[in-house]
Amino acid sequence: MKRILIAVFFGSIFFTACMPKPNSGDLVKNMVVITDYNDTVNFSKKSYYYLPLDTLSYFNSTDNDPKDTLQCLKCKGYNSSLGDYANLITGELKSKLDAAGYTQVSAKQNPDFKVYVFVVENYNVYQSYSYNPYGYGYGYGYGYGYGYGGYYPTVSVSDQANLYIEFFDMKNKYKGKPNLIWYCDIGDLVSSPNYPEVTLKSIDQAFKQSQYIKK
Amino acid sequence: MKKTFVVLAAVSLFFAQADAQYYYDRSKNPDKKIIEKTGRDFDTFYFLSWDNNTPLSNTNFVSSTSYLGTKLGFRKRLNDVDRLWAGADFGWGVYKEYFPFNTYTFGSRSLSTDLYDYVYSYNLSASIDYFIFPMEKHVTPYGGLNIGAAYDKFAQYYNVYGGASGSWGVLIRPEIGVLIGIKENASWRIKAAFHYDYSSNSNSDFGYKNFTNIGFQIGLVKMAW
Repeated sequence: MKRILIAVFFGSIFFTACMPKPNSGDLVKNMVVITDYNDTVNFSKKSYYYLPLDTLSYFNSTDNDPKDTLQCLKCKGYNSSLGDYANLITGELKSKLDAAGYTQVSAKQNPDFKVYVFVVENYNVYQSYSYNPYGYGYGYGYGYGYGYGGYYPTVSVSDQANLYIEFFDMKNKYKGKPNLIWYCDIGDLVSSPNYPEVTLKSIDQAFKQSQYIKK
Repeated sequence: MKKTFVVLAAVSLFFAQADAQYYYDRSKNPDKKIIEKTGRDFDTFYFLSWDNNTPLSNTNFVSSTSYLGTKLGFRKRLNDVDRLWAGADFGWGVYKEYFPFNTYTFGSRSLSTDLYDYVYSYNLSASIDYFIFPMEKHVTPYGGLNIGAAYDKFAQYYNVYGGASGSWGVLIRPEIGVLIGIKENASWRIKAAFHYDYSSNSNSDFGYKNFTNIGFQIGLVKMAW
């Protein structure tokens, strides 16, 4: 009788503690891809885009020098910490935009829209989006345009990184500043076992779910 | 008329008293045969069951049958005719469903991911069972009712992100089942039962107005005295 009671007691504790979660390896097979756009913009009327190749911006909360954000393969020291990741991303973007019928031009050639690519690591990005769009950024002056409201899940992971791709309308400005017309949020980069390959797959998905981006 | 009514009432009370004597003091009623039990006179049992459940509410979130669940409980005999047993159950179950990579569009915003939806369900209830045959039999079918409290935690996981929310509710669980022993008045028995659970747990974040499920449990019973 006593043994039964003990067994029931420990059994209860065991089963109460039992709260299984999905396998972490399965969870990060795919990245989450979020896109949003200004639905008053007719993307078919745009022709020329500006995209700096081989570089991207990188914001990391552990970075002591927040101005030092440029990443490229040929850069030195901290500025090359992402390796050829910038090349992969900008190359894929160029491929997608060219396939959609747009033409890449230089910044001085009066592009219709500018493509801005950056990685944010270890910031509570989703909360920032909810209450202060782009409030986490510094150094590149992209804290303008309009924000997207709505629900974003809050996250609580020790380390995470997201890739952001944004299109700014350079001709129809908002209060004199470039107007954000499309953005893409891809994450998490840190937990992915093969983030370069999965990022490319995710960029492909971003364009698939944004069929309005075509000439 | 009034006299007739008084006489009828007195006679009714007399028979009621006689009936009460039969149930609660059988030794004083020589006309009735007292059932002599062979072996131990079990008045308590404990059980541990494997519980399988299929959700019926908000099946857009989770519809798959859960094979991850157990029930622990005990029953105590309430009267000497061996039929009415009361006790308590603790049960838990985990429901889960995987939704492959897909795109969800809300207005101008689209989100692509694969989703893992989970419901963690816990309940504690008081129970009363009526056994059709005496407990000495090989096979003792029963019908029962549980009333108690349930806690459900609804969770959704995608990549490293996710959200979860829980709610409490009142649980009502009718149940039919059977205890099967390998011999008469066996100490160890098998329990098999079907049950329907309704709990008032609601959660607007995950689209639940209540949580209902049907389930089948099979487990071991230890009789005690």
